[in-house]
Amino acid sequence: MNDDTHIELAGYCAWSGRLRPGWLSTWPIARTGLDLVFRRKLFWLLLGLGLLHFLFLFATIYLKAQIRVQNPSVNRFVDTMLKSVAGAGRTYRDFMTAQGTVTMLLLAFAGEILVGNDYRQGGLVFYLSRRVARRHYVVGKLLSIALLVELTTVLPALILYLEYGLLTESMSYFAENTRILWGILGYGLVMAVTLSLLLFALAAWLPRTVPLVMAWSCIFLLLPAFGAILRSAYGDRRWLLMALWRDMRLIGSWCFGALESGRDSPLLVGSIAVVLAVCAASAVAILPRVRAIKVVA
Amino acid sequence: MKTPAAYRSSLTGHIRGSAVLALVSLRRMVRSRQSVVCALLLVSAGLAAAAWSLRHAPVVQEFVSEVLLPVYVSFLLPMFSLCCATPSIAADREEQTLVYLLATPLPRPMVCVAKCAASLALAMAWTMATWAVLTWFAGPAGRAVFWPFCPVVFWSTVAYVGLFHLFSVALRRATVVALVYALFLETLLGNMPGIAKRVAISFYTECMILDAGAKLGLSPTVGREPELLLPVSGDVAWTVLCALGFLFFAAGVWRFSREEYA
Amino acid sequence: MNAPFTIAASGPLTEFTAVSKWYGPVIALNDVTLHLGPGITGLVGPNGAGKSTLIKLLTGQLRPSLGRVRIRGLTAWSAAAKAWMGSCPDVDAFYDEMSGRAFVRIMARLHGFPARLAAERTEEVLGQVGMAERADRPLGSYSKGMRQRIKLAQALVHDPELLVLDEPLNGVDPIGRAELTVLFRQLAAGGKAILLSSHILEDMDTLADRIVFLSRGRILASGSLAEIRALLDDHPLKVRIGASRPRELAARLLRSELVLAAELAGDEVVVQVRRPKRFFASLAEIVIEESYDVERLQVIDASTQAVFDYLVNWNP
Repeated sequence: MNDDTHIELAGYCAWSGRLRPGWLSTWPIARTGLDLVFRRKLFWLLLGLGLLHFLFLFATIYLKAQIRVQNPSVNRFVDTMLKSVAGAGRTYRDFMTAQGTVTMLLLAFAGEILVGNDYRQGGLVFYLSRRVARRHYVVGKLLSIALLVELTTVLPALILYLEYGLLTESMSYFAENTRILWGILGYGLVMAVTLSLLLFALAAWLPRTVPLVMAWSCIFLLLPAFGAILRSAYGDRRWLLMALWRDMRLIGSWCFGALESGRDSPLLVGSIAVVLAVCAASAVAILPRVRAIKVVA
Repeated sequence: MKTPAAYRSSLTGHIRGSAVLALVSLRRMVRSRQSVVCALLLVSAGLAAAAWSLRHAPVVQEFVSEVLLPVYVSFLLPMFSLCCATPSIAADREEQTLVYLLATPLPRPMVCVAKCAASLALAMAWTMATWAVLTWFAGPAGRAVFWPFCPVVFWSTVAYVGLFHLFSVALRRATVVALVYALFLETLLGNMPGIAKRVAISFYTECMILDAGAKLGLSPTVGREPELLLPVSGDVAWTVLCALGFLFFAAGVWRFSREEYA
Repeated sequence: MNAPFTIAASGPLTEFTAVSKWYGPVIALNDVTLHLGPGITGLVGPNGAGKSTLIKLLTGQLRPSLGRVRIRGLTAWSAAAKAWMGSCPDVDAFYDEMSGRAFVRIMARLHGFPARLAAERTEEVLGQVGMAERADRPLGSYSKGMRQRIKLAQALVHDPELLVLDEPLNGVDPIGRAELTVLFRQLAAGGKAILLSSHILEDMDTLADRIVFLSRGRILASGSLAEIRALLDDHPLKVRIGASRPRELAARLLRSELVLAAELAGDEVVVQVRRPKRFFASLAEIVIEESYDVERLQVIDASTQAVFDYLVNWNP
């Protein structure tokens, strides 16, 4: 039997379809990136750690609902003790903020796999040798990072929102608290865009694990510590703007309508400026790293 | 001059080879991009300490609670150790250059010792240098604690480097696991009531700080309430840090001797 | 002073004794017994045959699940065995920021050489592999062929008795391949044992004294190419003979019991024969007795490729 016979037996026929636009490649790029991350056992360990807090809140909301029904006399006591689980915008904002450490760790791990490896192992050339422009590649990668952020913040927050509402006696919780839904999505969007741009830029310039992890940790742990030191030294709260996660939290508070007017409102504009500056600087940093490779057609 | 055959499996050859490996590893780490990041951290720490010292009459208690514990002990000390220790075997494994080291007649324990020695030397240099810079630029409040707390920095570095070196030998993603330990587990355990926090290296670091600080008149409530910390004595903390450092190191050598890296 | 660590040269150079290696449910090597001595031994097999596993067992990167791998009587896993062995791995990985010269010198130092001897041996082996003038650039800037030569240099620097070369000619240009082939022959002639794994089977025809054919974790055949070919009774040897009177020659050859078939192709006769040694002896007698003008004589399917194909597709 020769090769032609084998091909015929396999039912092969030439493809006669139309090639789709390049933008539709962003989802396969994102999906492939997520597959690479999901295949690692360490990812599931980190996700498990990240969901501990979610599980705790989930159980607490359920417990509160049960107590409300079974023993209304202690309802006020429970509400006082568990103020943080009140079903208000603050609850979800605080939850999403508290997911920060694990999200940061997860992205430190994923940054090397999603972006760093493309630069170290030459995977970028593989992508760009297809009918995929640089912008499609960048958007695809940003989308994969953003989805990871949403997995640890927005998705659990939405589940908690649904749980809280479904454990009340009517649908009025959802009707009265649509701002919370928009707050979750808005805060999630801010985190997704900012963190994806920042991580891509860092991983493109520092593709090796150790420098990337150190730089990433410095941004989220060392800068806030420095900000706290300078704030206590000079008494100026504007030093707290050095903490990026805090800046995103302020914007998230505004999304939820949970800004504390005395403390936080004056810093809101500064936070927006810092977040925009980080996004802009990251975008500018990404450009030369993607243009560094010329694919000759 | 002896021929190459004369050096087959000689003890002096092994010692010479191990020393060369340690020096080469140290040189490679010093010349790598992570040294730039470490240098930036050191400079940033110095600048932050200098800015802090400009406040009106800072005291030692404030230096310990506002600078030492949140910045140095919680972040810089484990980070420098992570940066130097996790790539010791893991980087060679990832870059597939470990095969050259395993093809030499150096016994595997000696390869591991050489790598760990290089990591420890560099980590110690960074932690001590940053400690010196931090305390110097923090002014009198910082300089007063430089010598009394040097043993804390030294032994904590030994313990962290031992642990992270073990991660490097045993795990593929050693850097991320070390980061999870340093930034997540230690924080989680540190905030737990009871004696669960005694699993973390940072607990013993804090105990040594409290013990050394007591001689300088530091209040035992610095950092957190004593009933939350439940500290052990400085001598016990020092013993545990030493023992942990050597135990992790020995476990790393044992594991490296048996592992098939292929 | 060095007595406790000095290993006397004893026993066969390398031996695999009933070696098996498995990774979970996958058997990579199955009951392999093999001895290597001076000369060039080629290791040939399809993908997944177990060649890499065999090489890693020999270089001490893996331990056998069953059996023993020894070098000069020492377990291959032990550090002492590595002193007798030089390994040229197939991975294309180096300390890229180092120059080739520095890399080879460091490898020499890791073998325990003092600095002066290490420098001398480095220059010697760099000259042997043809990299003496080009070894000062960083390894990251080298071409594939240059990197292969540096890998070979670091394997030779401590003058080992056994060389394990995994795809050593990969990426080397034709002139370089010729040079390295000469080098391998010189090393083998000097008493070294060379185990050479390659996918380029044409190289084995000219290079290897013995060939080990591996498939699905088992050794299919081991020996010189001619010996193995002669054993393949199901695949008679094909010989092409160019002669002035091809028809007469074909008819005459068919009368021999060693000739199974004959085919005319222009002015050539292609015969299928068994017992090649006896056939060639009898062909010489026939040609002389009956005065045939034989212009060319070529064995068509005794190449490594042909033998490899027969062995891999062999279904006993």
